[in-house]
Amino acid sequence: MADNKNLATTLDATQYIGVIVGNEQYGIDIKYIDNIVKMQRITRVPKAQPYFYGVINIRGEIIPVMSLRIKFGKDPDEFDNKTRILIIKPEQQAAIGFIVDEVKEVVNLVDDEIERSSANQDDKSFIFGVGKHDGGLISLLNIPAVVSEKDAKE
Amino acid sequence: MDVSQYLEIFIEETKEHLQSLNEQLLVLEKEPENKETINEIFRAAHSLKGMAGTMGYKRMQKLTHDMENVFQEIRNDKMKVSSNLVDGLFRGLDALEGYLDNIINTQDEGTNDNQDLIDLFAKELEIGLNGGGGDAAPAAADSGAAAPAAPEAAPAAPTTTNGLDVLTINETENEAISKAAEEGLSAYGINVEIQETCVLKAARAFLVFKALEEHGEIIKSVPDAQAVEDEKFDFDFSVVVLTKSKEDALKAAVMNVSEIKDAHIKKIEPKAAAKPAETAASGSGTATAAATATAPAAATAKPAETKAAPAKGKPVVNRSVRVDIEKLDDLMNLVSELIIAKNGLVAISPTELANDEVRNGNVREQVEYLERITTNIHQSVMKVRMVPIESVVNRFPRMIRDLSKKLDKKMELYMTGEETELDRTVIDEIGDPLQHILRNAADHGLESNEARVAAGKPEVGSIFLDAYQEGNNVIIEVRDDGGGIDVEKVKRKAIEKGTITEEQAESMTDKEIVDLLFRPSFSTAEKISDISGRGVGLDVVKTKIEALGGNVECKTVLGEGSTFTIRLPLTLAIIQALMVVIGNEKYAIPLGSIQTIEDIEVSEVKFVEGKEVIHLRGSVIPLVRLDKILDVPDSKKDAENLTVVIVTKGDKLAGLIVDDLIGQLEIVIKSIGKYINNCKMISGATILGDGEIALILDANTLV
Repeated sequence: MADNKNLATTLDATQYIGVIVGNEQYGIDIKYIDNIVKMQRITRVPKAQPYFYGVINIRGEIIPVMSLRIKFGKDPDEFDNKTRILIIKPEQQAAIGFIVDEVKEVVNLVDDEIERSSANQDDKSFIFGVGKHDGGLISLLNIPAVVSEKDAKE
Repeated sequence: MDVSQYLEIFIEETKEHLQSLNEQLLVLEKEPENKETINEIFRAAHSLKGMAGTMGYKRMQKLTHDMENVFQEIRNDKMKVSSNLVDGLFRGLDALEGYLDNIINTQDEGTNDNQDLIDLFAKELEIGLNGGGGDAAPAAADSGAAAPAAPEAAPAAPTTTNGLDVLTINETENEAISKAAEEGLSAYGINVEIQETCVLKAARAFLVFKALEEHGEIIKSVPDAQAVEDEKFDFDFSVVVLTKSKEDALKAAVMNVSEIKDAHIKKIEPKAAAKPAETAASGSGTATAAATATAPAAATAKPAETKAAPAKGKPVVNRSVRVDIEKLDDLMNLVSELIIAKNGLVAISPTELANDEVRNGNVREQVEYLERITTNIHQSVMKVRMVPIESVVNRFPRMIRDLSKKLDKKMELYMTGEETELDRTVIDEIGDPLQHILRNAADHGLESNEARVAAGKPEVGSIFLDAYQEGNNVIIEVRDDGGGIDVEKVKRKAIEKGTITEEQAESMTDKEIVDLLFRPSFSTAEKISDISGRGVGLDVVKTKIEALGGNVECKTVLGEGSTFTIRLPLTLAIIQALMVVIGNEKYAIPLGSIQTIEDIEVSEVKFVEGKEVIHLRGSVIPLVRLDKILDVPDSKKDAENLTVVIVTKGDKLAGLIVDDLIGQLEIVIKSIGKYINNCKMISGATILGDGEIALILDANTLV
């Protein structure tokens, strides 16, 4: 994982956006984030994967929206006024939206504060490490794995 | 000399010349005596040699030179065209293409001397000239030197050092000059000499023309503009300009262009201009009536002539610009945005302003105007992107010829509709699939000559490639009159391979069996010759065409031949669609595939083999419940009447049941993103005026 190496070699803090999904706090590397928007009308796409709710229109661009809750095998989302869609760009040309329960804050983490899940370091894991921040724990999302086909049960 | 700046032009022109050589050689093979073709070939080969030499591609030059020698002798009737020779020449062209490929990739021609080909041409020359008289050989040797003069001599009439003498002014031009004189313009004859070291004479000449046009009108040039354009002049050419400017200004303008050696300018006085009119007048004492009659006639004729004169004098340039496809894509995107914005206006105007009758009318009028403009812009941009399929198919005759030799089968390719236009992106992609289908037809479709004769068919097999437009689609049909596909054999193979079970095979129609050939599992597992060959790579063909938004079908009659029909969308990005409602979701159905919309009573729905069908004007049409196959929640149920959209794919029909119709809309097709599973029924999505997204149904997959 180029990202991990990148983190390992630099001592500078990396910024993560802290979000709540279900009862857990997750961190998403800020470099992936294109935009954060409020919940909006989602157009259902027939025969899509169950964790895709459909597509939304962000300034003329059509972006598929994924439920992290369903992807991670949690209960279905409950939408309220804290629900947000994070627009993520894993690649330059392809965007994807993540539905999260709440966006908390920006967290700065230096390498020392991250405990890498080295025990079973396969690239397919949704989480590449756990960050310690303010006494709490933040699961850091491995974005390329999250947007890949596979879901939590497999 | 640094010629890299000309590399692009060189590559483009070389391609053109090679293509034309290929085409002409094919003609020559059939009509060895065709003088015009030989001349054409000679010219192309000669330009090619010159260009290669200029660019410093010595090997390429040498090979072209030797080929040119051969053409020279054929042209001079010193030798005959043999099939052996044509083969050699074709190989020569392939070798030249090889050089060109190297040049495109590395800017270098490579190190292959193609000595065998050069030797071959030398040998052919010797054989061909054996009976041709003693002086033939030296003639061949220096034909290279003599040749440059030959094609140029014809248009460029003998020019003296001061080429102005050749500027003879004819009646029409004289008319124009005298007319111009009345307006205070004077005519100058200018002879421009270009430096001998100049590489791109035509380009310099063009610049001279342009410089002079800034001063006035060029009404004549020797040689004519087209010849100058084609570089068919030695080192000087002459023009006549009508201008207000003085001699020095003109001279300065010409000399401003680099690599111009000198320019001689002479003023041309109009010859006693109205001579015929005068004589008519002087002798008119009795015939005044006649004179007055001719005068208006002359007056009316004059403007026409002056109009004609400049048209003649101006360089007959094909006014075209090469544009990067990316720039067009950008433009296209902007047009898309504009259409979305326009749709937004369309959506707002009736509702928001409904209470103000007058203003409402005005707004609607303006919106309609806007709509017209955007549609026109869209069409123009689409047209700019259109390229005739000629550029793809023109290499096929040569390919079929080679296949014919290789397979030792006589066959002929007939093409129609080469002028049919397709989007540039489609053109770039369609070549390989077409080539594949043609190869299949030649290799496996057509039987051997003996088998054909035995079957009572003409010995020479025919392959047809027809392209034409049908509604919003372009159809390309590849047809052969060969043996067709043996459906039984395919079926047996499929069962053997485990692609289908025996029970499945029983219930399958012939068409469904033929479609098996497009399956990837089928093709990769199959040996070519076993089942009349089809199958290898056909799945690739299908995938590629479907990626372009098209589809491919195969029809076959055992013993009579097969037809592959490729259907491609005319436009890629913006289409007209019918908006429909299913449940509380909106969908778009491309208008191109819709035949009619019907209101059907529920009682009219019949069942055939457990499937719902309707009987409509003599045809039985299967119904597709869109709400079911699209898993739409809470769709309108148990209605008295069903709204059915009848869609077509080729000659097949299907009725799509929808809840409601919204109307026709011009929509911009967008992708629904990379990550979400894109089922085949959904070909994309579009953004409606209010920002809502509607999915686009691909009717082809529903039929």
